[in-house]
Formats: sequence, structure tokens, C-alpha cells
Amino acid sequence: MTRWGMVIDLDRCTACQACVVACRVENNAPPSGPEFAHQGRDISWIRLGSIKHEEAGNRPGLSLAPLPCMHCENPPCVHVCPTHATTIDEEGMVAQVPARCIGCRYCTTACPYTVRQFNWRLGQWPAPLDQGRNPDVSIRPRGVVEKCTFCAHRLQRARDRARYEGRELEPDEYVPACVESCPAEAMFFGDLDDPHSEVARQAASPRAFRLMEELGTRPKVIYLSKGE
Amino acid sequence: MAFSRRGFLGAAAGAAAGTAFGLSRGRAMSRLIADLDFAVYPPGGPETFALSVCRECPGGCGTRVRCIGGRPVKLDGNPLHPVNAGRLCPKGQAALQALYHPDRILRPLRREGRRGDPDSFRPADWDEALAEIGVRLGLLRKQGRPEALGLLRGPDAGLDEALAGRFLAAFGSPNDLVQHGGSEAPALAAQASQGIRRAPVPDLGEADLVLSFAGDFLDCPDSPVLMTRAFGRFRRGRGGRRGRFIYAGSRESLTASAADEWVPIRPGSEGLLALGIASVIVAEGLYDRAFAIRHLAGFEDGPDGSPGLRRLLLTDFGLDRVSAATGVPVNWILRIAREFAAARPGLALGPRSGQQLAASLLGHLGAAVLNGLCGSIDVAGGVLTAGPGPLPAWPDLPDDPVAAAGRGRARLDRAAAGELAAADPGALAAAILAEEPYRLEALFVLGCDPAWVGPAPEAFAAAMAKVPLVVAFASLPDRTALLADWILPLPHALETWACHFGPADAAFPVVSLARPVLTEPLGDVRPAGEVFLELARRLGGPVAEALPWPGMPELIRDQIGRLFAARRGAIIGTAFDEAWVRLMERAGWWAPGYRSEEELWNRMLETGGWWDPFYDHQDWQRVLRTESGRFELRPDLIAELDRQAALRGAGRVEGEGAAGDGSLAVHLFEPLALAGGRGAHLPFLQEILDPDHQEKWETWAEIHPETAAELDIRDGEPVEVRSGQGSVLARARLTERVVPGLVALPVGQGVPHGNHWTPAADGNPCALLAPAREALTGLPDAAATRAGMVGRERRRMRQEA
Repeated sequence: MTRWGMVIDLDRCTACQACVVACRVENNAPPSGPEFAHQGRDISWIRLGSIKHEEAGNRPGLSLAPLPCMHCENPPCVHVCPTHATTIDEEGMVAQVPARCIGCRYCTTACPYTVRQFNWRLGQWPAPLDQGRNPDVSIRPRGVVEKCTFCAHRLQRARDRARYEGRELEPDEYVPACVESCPAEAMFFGDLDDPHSEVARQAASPRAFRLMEELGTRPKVIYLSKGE
Repeated sequence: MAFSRRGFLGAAAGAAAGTAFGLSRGRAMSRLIADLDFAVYPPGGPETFALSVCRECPGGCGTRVRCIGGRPVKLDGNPLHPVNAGRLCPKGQAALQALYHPDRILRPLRREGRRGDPDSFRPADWDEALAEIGVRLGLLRKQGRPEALGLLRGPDAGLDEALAGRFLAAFGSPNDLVQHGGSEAPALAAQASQGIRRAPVPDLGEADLVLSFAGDFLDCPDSPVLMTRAFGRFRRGRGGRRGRFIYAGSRESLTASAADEWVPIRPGSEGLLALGIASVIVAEGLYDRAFAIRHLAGFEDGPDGSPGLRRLLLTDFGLDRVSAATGVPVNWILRIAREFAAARPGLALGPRSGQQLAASLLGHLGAAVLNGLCGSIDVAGGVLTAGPGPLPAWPDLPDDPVAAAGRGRARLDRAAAGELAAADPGALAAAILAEEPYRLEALFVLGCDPAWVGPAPEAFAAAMAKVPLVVAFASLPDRTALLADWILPLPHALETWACHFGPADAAFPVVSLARPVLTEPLGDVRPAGEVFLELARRLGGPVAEALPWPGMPELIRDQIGRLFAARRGAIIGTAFDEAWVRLMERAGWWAPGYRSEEELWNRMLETGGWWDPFYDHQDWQRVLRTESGRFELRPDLIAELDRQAALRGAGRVEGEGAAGDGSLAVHLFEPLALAGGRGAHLPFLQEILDPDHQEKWETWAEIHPETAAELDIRDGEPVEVRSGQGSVLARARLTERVVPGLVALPVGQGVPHGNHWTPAADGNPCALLAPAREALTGLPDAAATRAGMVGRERRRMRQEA
């Protein structure tokens, strides 16, 4: 069975935030404007977080890392959701179904990575900005929680294409928008269970670590540490 | 549209509350209807893909555009393109917001009211615009004053920009200025040491150790994707060989935060530190002797007794002086020097904090000295020199005495006046204001915003008021456009033919070619090239003869014909194709994969372009064009710059008490999202301004907590930063990412325009810059700008009390 996962090499990452913008364009995140952004209510399914670590040499112990949804194998958000609006499928993707969400925000509280966001208003795209929206991703209503889906709609499209052409899905046919854009080539995506995949090879690196592993969430986003 | 359970519950609750508390049912129902926007998908359509070129910065990445029903909905990189290899930076990703921007200028605008008033423009048609501009220009030629036309253009390297330059030459004006502050100092350093006036290209991807003296190559390079990709390779792309990166500077920029080590230094002391490190390398004999004997000049004392670099470094740049002036401990300098000399190759980079912000020459000469001493010149992982451009020169201009006389006049800025005079929009502004040596009657501005981002924005704005005809090309309203007489709307990259040449950061020549993705532009827009072709036609005579093409597509076709005739390079392709072309060219073969012009044209459109990956290392006749044929270390220049800096420093210490204007050094920088002064209009870029502070939509001022304590300023407090020249409102950010005694401000924010998303009107950090210039080069003297900072709220309260 496929187990989708991501590896982010912090030694290559320059914190340029191409992933952030790529994600917002792909997933119809509305532009916020100054006021809304200052309230911290702009929607960004992947953002930069600072990972504090032991001080090394003269460096302040701070490094910046892209934070998408970790797609935990043991996701706290799924356990607390009263309406099954967030689920984990057999391939390990943690999905969010806006139509079932009642906006209770138990999941945003439960998520230790704070990557879930509450949608405070219906997105606004002043014309003709609405022309650039992606028809594969729904416009979320006000009052629901949203999060990174690993661009599941891209997987759906790739599967449809493979089925239409009467063949199996090739491993490199599907990557999320953030991975596709990353100019430092710091992000890898694929099947963690396929020993031949690049992502599995990278995940086996001695530099690999997961965020807050001690919580037992078993994230499928794996980081490679900076330095030698 | 499904009736949702949640919506139903909400409405039911609202209705119940309405009954209980006497609120209207109507409100509850309207909330329900709002919630029914549920699971709405934007309209779909057939999916197609097209290739194009990104024009959000001078990089010119190849893009692959996903269209739904003919509407572009997503940009990604063209996997075959050598600049970006399928990747895009945040600016490229946000480019669709520029296409669909609600504030876009969609037709020519003519100013009728007061200059600078955004409401004074009225829509005009192209005929009216071109007729009037054509008549005014024709008059200048009739009067025999073609030199009174000026052009200021940004660093973009497309065919439109090249054609604008040719128009100026054919018209007869020497005043064709490129505003590219960030490349001036490195180009002058290369002029001094290699005899080539072009910024050298760092071969980052192959370097062993990179030592950057405040060179923010990840923040604001000409091509962010090229540099970021090279950085990825430098770190982890070469098997087990991981490059080491040391950054010395006064602010921990995005680039510095990617380094293994950040060495905080006193503001403006990058050059001194580089020379101090060079001094250790010389004193300990760690330099590359073989390279020094064969290729260096100016190392030993001259036959006339003039001091060589060895003597100069050992006497004037000793460890004690450098350590005291830079604030870097002696043992660190020693360690870095030994590390740098041991690396093969080590790559030293001079200061750069923006595409438009100029750096000091001494910093770049210091970096050049280090590269020269360690033999990092023209080797893989060292400093390369870009080869000749992809296209042969334009055909000769027709015989035209009026134009020849005009071109023979002095340029209004001082550039080309001396060996080391920088192109300077500030000097242009001063010359316009003084009407010396002659009056400027007409000015085109293309691809830059000199009245907002540049060395002297206020002087430029004042100068614009003196020019009777200012024509600005723009697609979104910037300050220069709002001060112009005519705004000519530019198409978005997806609406026009693209013929773009590679960025200045690349050692290889690239020609990107693409047809319009949107066949119907969103407005009545025209590429700048079409405008210049039409103006040439209207002027007639030799000007029309020099620009004979009926339109841009024909000109592009003609250029590709000339590219075919040049018999070099290949169609862009996979890594295997690249290796194959290199191998063949090294052996003296040319195997292009196309046999006719037609085939070249078609394959370029299919793949996105052409390039020449072959680089001939250590071709000394090409890369060392000095009189001696050697790499000149220029001790004379270093001593003179050092002396002048010391003199200026002494002068300032005396003057400071009198002015009492503030004690903080000012460091301006262009954040990645706003590099080159572009991007402030795009909401997605406004929301990623700074990765650490998570600043959005406003100017912030970074200051060290110790300095803030002295000034009684708290984190997040609104402050005013004031220099002798101007003032800026900002939010104070207390951070140890800057050294004490410094205020760091991002450039590009606070632009006073925009109807849909208006960023805070904070004022312009560039307006803080002092007009002082280095006497030798005309480059801005960064150390001359000092500023003070006060908290706005508390000052107001004090005043009220």
C-alpha cells in the first residue's frame, strides 16, 4: 500500500517561501489584505515556522522550516473531530471535508503543529482576480477549519489520467504544488513504503527527524537537519 | 448546491434566537444563504498547458502555464529551462496576481491635472498617445537636439529593453541609462581588476567554501531561482561534498540565516574585513603562489617604488586595525583566513543588499583580492565571467549626422566620464535639475521606479517635474508612473511574445522564446518594443531605417535567424542533452539538433528556448582584458578608497555633533518578495515579507535590543526613523539579527497607491539616504546616512503633556 510522505531538507532550504505562495495559488487561498493579515487570519496551508534548537557556535539557535500538515499516522485532529470532518485514509492522507465541519475547532486545539486554520470569512477575489482560481479546489465557506491536503486533487487528477490511459499510476506523476515549486530542490515527495523512491531514501538519512516525535503522532513529514 | 447540515443547524439556531430575543428572521436567513456558498468550485473547462517566460524579475525563468478554458490558473517552472529547471520562486508563483490585478492599468493614460495627482489621469487611445509623443520627439530632432531625450530602464534583459536602447541610439541620444544599483559596484571592481565592465558571476554551485561579505545572494539576486538552485547544489547536490558558508555582515539576512556561521560586523566594514583576511593570507603565505606568479599584477612593489598589495596589506590592514574597525575578534579573522585559503576553491562575494541598492566599491575590491590571491578566478566554483551575449550585435546604424552629433554629446549622468564612474540616476536627476550641460526635454522610464526605489527618489521626483514630457511604461501604478505625463500600459508576460535573455547571474547565454498564452490581452496594452517601433515609423528617415521591423513578432523572428547564423549552442533540454552539448563543444564540434532556421524556431517554441552550456574555463585572453593581461589587484585604488573613507569618517565625526540628527547607521535591504522594488502590489508577496518576524503589509525597523533600550523603544512599537533627508514610519522590531547601533529597513514598501489593498503609507526608506557620493566612483556613500529613531505614541503623549 502506498504511504504518501514528504521530506524537507533544511540544509538546502533557504526559507524563500516559494512553497507558501505556490500552495496559496494552487489551493485558492484568498488574498487577505492588511487588516485581515494583521489579525493573523490569512489562510496559508503551509507557512514558515521557527524551530528552536541548541545554540551552535555563535549562531542564535533558530532555523526556519516550512510547516505543512504533518499528515500524522496517529493524528490527534482525527481523534477529536466530532463530525468525521477530518479523516485519515488508507494511504495515510489526513483529509478535511469542509461540508462536514461545524467549526468547533477542537482539531486546531489538538494539533500540536498548529497547522490547522479557522476560516474567518468567505474569500474575496476582486475581479478579475477570480479568473485565476483553480477549479479543482473548492472555495471554502466561512466558519470551517482548513488545512493542507498534500494537494489530494492532484492525486485524483493523476489517477484519472492513468485510468483514462489504461495504465498504473507512475510514482512521479503526482507531487504537491509546494514540492513542485521549491527552487532549492529541498522538498521530496512520494511513497515512503517504496524502498526505491527518493523520498524513502532521503527519509532513511541519519539527519532525518520528525517534529515533536515524543508525542507519538508519527508525522509523515520528515525533516533533514542542517549541518554536516 | 447541497443544503448543508451545518447551515441548517445554524439557521435553526438563529431562527430560535430570533424568536426568543425578537431579532429578525431575515438576518438568520441571510446568514444561512451566505453559508450556502459551500463547496462551490470555480468554473471549470478544458485543461491545456503552454510555455511562457516569467517577467517578475530580471531572471527570466521559463514557465509552464496551466490554463482552464483558456484562463491561466497556475504557473510552474518549465522543467527544461536552464535557469530554473522546473522550479519557481515566490515572485513567479505570485505572477498571476499581476495578470489579474484589479488595479492594473489597461489603457494609455494621459495626465491632465496636477503632476503626481493619481486622479489627474484620463484614458486615451494609443493613436493619440503615439501621435503626441511622436510629434514632440520629431521636434527635438528638427531642432538638432536629439540628446535631450533620455531613457531610464531597469535591469531586465528582454528584446523590448534592447530595442529601447537601439531607439535611443538611432534617435541620437547618449542618455540611455540602466538603473541596476546592485551590479554597479561589482561591475566597477571587475573593470578595475579584469578590464571588463560587467559584474562577475559567482559559480556558487561548485564552490567549496563561500565567504560572503554582506552579499545577499539569496535575498535579492537577479535570478532568485538560479541562485537558490545553486545553493541547494552547493549544500547537498554533489554526493558527500557539502559546501561551507560563512557570512559576515551587520544584519542576519535571509542569506545569512542559511549560513553555517554569521559573523556580525560593524556597519560598512565589509571591505576592511576582506582586506584584513587577505592580509593574514599574505602574511602566512597561504595564497596560491602559482596563480600569483602567472596571473596577478600589483602584488609586489612596482619598479617605480609604488607599493604593491603585499606591502599595503601588511602595513595598512594589520589585524589590530581590522579587528578594531570591524568588531571581529582577531582569532576569528585568523581562522576564517586559514579556512578560506585551504578551500579549493573558496569563493568570496562582495556586499549586495538589493537589485537597486548600490554597494561600496571597497567591499567588492576586497572580495576580488581574496578571489585573486586564492586563485579562484575563472575556475569551477570560483568567479566566472559571462561570455558574449547570445545574439550578434545589431546591424550598423544608418548614416545620420543629427544622431551622430547627439550621441557625441556628454551623458547627463557622469557615467563613462572616467574609468570608474558608476551609472547613477541620482546624478541624472541632479543634471536635469541643474539643466547642465543641457536641458532634458523628454524622458522614457521602463521597468524601474526611480522616484520610489533608487539612490535618490526625491531628487528624481523633483527632476521629473522639470522635464516637459515624461512617458512611463507600467502595468501597475507606481510612483514614477503617477508623476509622468503619459502612462503606457504594458502587457503581462502571458499576453505577449517573449524573447528574453538570461539573467546577469548566469555565466551561460540563454534565449527564452514563447508566444502569447492569452491571445486576447485583458486590456488595450502594447509591449514597449511595439511602441518604439511605431515611434520610429512616425519619425521616419534614418530612425525608421534603423528600426525597420513591422512588429515585435517579425523582429523576434529576425533575431532567431541571426541566432541560427551564429552557429553555436543548442535547444534547451534535459541534463543529458546538456552534458552531450558540452562534451561535443569541448571537442570542437557543434551538434545543435536543428538544421534550418525554421526548425530552430519551431523547436525553441516547443521547448522554451535556446542556450549555450559550454564554458571554457581559464581562457585568460577573454577574462583578463587589462592592459597587463593579468588580474590587477589595484593597491593604488584600495589605498585611495581607504584614505577617502577615513577622511569622510573624520569629517562626519566633526559634523555629527552639529547636525545632532541621530546616531544610528542605516542599512536598507530589499527583501526577496520586494527585490528590485517590485512586488509590493501583490497580496501574496505582501504576506511573506519576512520569514522571521512574520511581517505583513508594512515597513518594519530592525534594531538591536541594547540599542532599543538606550532609545527607550519597545518591540512592536510604532516608530519614526528620521535622517537629515527624510523620515519613515515603521514598526520597531527588536532582534539580535542586527548589530547594535544600526537600524535596518526593508525597501519597496509604503508605496502611496493601490485601490484594493492599500499598504500602510509609511514613507520611503530610500528617501532617508544621504546624497553624499564616493568621490572616485560616484557610488553612494552608505556610511554618510545616519538616522535617529523615536517612538511615535510616546512622543505624542509627551507633546500632549
